[in-house]
Amino acid sequence: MLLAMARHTGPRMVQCYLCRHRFEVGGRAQSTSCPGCNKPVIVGDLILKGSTLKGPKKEERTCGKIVVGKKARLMAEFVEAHGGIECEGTIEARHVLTSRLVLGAKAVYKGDLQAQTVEMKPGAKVKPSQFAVPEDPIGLADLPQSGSG
Amino acid sequence: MAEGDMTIVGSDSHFKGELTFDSTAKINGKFDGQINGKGELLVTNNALCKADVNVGAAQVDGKVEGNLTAKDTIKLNANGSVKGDITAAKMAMAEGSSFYGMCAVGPDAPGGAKPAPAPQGGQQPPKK
Repeated sequence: MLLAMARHTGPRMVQCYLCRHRFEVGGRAQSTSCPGCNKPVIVGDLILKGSTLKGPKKEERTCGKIVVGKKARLMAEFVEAHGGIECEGTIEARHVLTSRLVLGAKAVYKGDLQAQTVEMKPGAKVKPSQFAVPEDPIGLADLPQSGSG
Repeated sequence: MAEGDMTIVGSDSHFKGELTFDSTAKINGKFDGQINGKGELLVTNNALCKADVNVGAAQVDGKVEGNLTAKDTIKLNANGSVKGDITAAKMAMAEGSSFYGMCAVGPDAPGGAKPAPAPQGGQQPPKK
């Protein structure tokens, strides 16, 4: 399940994380310009494999999925992934917003969370963080094919 | 486990007060108060538990309103719901479960059991 490369085949519906406008993109699109706000948005998946360190940075946002591998680490103040987050490594953030969070047995997680659903395996470590599950502040629940991989 | 070793609050019962147990307790009905135990607490599907809970392990299928602390594992199943803070050494959370509160999970978590220190093999700690 984890680290399964998400290959979108057909066109898919995404929601801009800047203006919440919904539009369709090609299955393999990585980034595009939002027709609602004309700003560039990332719609592809972010896959961190090996001992990759992403960050520390201010924000990491995508309309797709974020996958953090076993030795990988993601550090950002704000993380938003409409397609879900799968973590076997480390995520350190101040605030995380996603449709679905999956924490593997060796995952280490820190960050206030708003998610529609969370799946946590025994062994995952969570540093003190505020959880709000299920929570859908940006209306991802009715997004067609939300989180399809 | 023998049924005799289990403390059960029945589905048609409403218990107010403090419950202390050693082996296993099962809440099928309503509970208001405080729960302390060394063993496992089971909160079943239609149960409502308004309590601060401090136990060895817990499995939640119903609703818990209050802080939940376990030395070992907390299992929050798909129908389970917790409004309160969770502190545990391990936690399993199923898809579909509901949780609003502060979460601290791991051996370093305040309520979690810390692993025994590794034997030093007679070595002296390095001098500073």
